[in-house]
Amino acid sequence: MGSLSTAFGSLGIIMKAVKILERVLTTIPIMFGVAIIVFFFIRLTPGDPVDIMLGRSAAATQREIEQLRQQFHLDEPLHVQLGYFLGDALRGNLGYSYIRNKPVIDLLTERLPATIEMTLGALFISLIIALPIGILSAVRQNSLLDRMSMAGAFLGISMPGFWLGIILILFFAVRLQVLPAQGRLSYDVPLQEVTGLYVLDSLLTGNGRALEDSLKHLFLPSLTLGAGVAAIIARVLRSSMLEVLRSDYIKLARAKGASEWGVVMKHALRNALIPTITVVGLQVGVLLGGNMIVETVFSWPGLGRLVVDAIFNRDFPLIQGAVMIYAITFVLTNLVVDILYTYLNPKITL
Amino acid sequence: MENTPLLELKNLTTVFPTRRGLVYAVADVSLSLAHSERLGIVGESGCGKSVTMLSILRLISAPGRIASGQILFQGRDLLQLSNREMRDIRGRDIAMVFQDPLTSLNPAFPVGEQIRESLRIHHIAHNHFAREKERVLQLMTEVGISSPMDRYHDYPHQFSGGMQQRALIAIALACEPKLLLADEPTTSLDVTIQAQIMDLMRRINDVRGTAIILVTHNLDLAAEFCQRIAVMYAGRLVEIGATDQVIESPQHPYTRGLLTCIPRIVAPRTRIEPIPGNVPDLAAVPPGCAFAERCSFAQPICQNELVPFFEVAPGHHVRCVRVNAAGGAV
Repeated sequence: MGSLSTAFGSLGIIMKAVKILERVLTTIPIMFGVAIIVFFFIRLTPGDPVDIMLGRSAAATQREIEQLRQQFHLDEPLHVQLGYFLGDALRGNLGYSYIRNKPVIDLLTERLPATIEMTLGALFISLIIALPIGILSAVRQNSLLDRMSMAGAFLGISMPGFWLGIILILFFAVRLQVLPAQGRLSYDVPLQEVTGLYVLDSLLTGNGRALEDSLKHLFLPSLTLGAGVAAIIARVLRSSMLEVLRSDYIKLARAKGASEWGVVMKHALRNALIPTITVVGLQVGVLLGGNMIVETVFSWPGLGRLVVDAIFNRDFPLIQGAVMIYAITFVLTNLVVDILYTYLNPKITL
Repeated sequence: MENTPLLELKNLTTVFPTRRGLVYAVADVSLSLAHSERLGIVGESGCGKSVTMLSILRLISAPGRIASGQILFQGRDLLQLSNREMRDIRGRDIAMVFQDPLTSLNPAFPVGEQIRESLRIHHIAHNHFAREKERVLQLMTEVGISSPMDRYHDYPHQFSGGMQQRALIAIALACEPKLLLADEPTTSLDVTIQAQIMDLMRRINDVRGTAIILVTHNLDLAAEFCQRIAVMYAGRLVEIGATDQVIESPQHPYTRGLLTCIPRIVAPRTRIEPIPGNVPDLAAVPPGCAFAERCSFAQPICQNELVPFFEVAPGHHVRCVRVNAAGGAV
């Protein structure tokens, strides 16, 4: 009987792996759709990339303009352009940036780690703030702590990132001078890049100095970006904890003689996390979007600033590439959320 | 030891502050329960049966509180215990089976683990995993969950209603408690399952000598299962006695009303007589008999003065002035 159930157990793991693979494969048509939509939408926006590139200078002759148009296939019908784009994309070639004269894929891979690092940092900080606050304010509902945290959460949601960022810089970098105001690493700190995530790289290479320095650089941007998300997560967690704490199985857990800690952390939290995880997943999208502002405030060399520049310059290939990256990240985040879901809620399978 | 009752409630009063004022969900309830006894507490919804049970375990959630009285369990007043000491009693000495098995089991954990948790909390198997699991499988078999080995890792939603209730009973029995509080354990189950669950509870009482308080609105069920029956109305006890006494010669008009409400198949065809009127607002229970407003025998004195208990027969107590006036015979 025992071996039978272990056999079922490993079968279950294989089934799960197959399901996950299935889900990963379904991202392909999604990405295809995203690519087509992005392609048409940027071309709908007013503004000609060639005009912008040449700066409408008198020096540019009609011939030069024509040449550039030809070079970028901008003189061809839209469906032909789409064909070029999709064909290249399938081969892993996202094209050449009009402005930066570099392959889009290189530009993206260069900048992506910085953005991922900041997003993860923000997610980490927001969870560190939101989990205890959400739990405690539900357990001590209507207490002073609860009221203060919910007021704080309100503030956190209301504060715009650029403002909070500047305030934090003024306080920690200018007044106290304990944290750096910009960049990812001090110029005099050497670091061998492995993954491009500096904190991870300094751990991998055992570089203590770089670890400290990169963490210091990461803290303020992550806090700026994470504050609003922390507020949202705390509020959602609080309300789902409140609902769960009123349920019959919590009463039963108490009737069993479970300690208050056991009741809250084991029986209640596990169930309250189910709706919370959904919100966290959605917030990752917000974090990616919010990057642009925070990256600008902290001169963070990430994807956000690259994309903003690309949009201003109508750098079509770069915009397309970046949006594809955002879309993939979003789809993968959702997949991770769905997988976590199956662990938290046994009623749900992938 | 055998002479002291297992459980004794003395003037237990549990209140809930509301916007309309204090609600006396349990008002001045006194009763006692012997070792291995089966007692039924009967009454309509909202009469304070469940709150009485939760009060015994001190699980009244704020802002509700036990305002006064004593809960003596084996001579110890539970209301004087520290939270820690009380936690040791819950689940180990006094266990509870709740009404709705589906919502009472935690949806996030396998049923077997939820049974095992009771053992773990009270260190029954000295936190030895294999021994705990073995004990859980025993318990599951005992309460009639077939092939427990396979069902150990199943989640509550994979169990049927009857099986869920059996699992809840297994949780309650895990630490071999001396007292089992069963709060409408069969209300959400269909009739055949209901009979099986009641059989199971009777067996537990027989074999282990576990005392059981059965809370139900079903007078028939209580009559069949219990040795004594207590009738509650609007937070107060109105009649208590041996099952025969209460069923065969009910003395309180409310108890009689309850009995005439039950449809009979065998008995001569009579109309079901509903009790006129409604349960009083618990925030404004009249100072006298709470049932006076609906009672066809009510006298002016009923409204104003708190009626004491009268003993109409040995062990049969009734809270009604008529009983006294008529010298016990109605």
